[in-house]
Amino acid sequence: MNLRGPALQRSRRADSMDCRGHTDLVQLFLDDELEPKTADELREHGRRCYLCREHLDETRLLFDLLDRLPRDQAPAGFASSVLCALPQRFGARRMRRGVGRFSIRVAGLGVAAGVVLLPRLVAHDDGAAGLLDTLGRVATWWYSWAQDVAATLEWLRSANPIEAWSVLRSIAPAAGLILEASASGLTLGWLAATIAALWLGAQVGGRSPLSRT
Amino acid sequence: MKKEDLLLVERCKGGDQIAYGQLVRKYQNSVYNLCRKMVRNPEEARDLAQEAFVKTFAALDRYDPVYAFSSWLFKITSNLCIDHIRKQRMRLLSIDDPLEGEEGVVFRELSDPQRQPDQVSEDSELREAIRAAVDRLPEHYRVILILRHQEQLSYEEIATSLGIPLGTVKARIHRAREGLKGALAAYAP
Repeated sequence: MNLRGPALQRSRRADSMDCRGHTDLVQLFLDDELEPKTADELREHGRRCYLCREHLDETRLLFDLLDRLPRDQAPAGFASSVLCALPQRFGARRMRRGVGRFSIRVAGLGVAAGVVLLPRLVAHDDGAAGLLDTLGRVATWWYSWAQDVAATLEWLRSANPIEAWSVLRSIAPAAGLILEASASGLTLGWLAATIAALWLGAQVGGRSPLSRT
Repeated sequence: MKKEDLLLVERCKGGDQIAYGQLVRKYQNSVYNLCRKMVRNPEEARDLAQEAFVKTFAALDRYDPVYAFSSWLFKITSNLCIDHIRKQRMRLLSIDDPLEGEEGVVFRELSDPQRQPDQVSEDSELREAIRAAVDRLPEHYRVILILRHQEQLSYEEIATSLGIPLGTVKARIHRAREGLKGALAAYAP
């Protein structure tokens, strides 16, 4: 019977890891990514080998330095700025997607409204000067009115309280214009032109009017 | 934590931006920190972090709930940062960029005229040295180190986050740390 057998086997097991193996595995050991058995072998080797123990200490110091690198905090108001960016980008995209085939019909409606509107403008009491004045006002208000209405629609979709100010701002001029258009008897024409402008803005611009804020 | 994120993601898919606000607030520091460590410039980091959240929101329909939401967010963020750095590099190749060879990551040995070792404590000097050395690592090494040491992700989580094999994570993180050791050798006592 060989009484030294088990002791010798234990000794060989303890030495089964050489210095090269230890060096390769030290990082995995410190990252807690080693199998328990291999981790035990590495510890055992470290107890016996001064150089490998020194290497382990150096690597541990590096890990400690990396762990203690200062973390940067997001600047104040970052989350709000992200949330504000969402409706700007996705609202416009959804609006473009939403108009689709319907937008072609709306455009047709706008052209038809223009055809109906033109004779009325020509017959304006103030003659050519009055016509030019009216057309100028139409051109001026068309774009801004469309933006205001689009802003309102977008707010209703997103229900984002941050944009409440924009909506409040948009309601006043839009309401005023409707009243003004009603007074001049051009309500239908104005509404049709506005719808057409909305479509045009969504197709060409692609940006939400809220981006101005 | 994963279940809580999943519930928030489901609400986001239904168009609930308040739920997304909760996710943004939960991960804003991690995402910003990753961007800041990757691109250095605070303004660029802020823009990239915002872009990451917007892109993540846009792609929520493609999110696979098998993986953690944070892993997916880090994947989008790291891809954005790496793309940004590469585009910048196309415009300007920095002399500070480390060289990559078969033997790992090698830094160019250049003296820093602004560094005055006698004026700062040894500890802060070492911390500054490690920060500078991390900054100079190639981006795909740096991102792994940040995810491991600042976000405390496991190797497997890093592999999932970056969409690379586990073996690649192990190899890169090992090389990156060995490269840092070389860069810090001058500070050894």
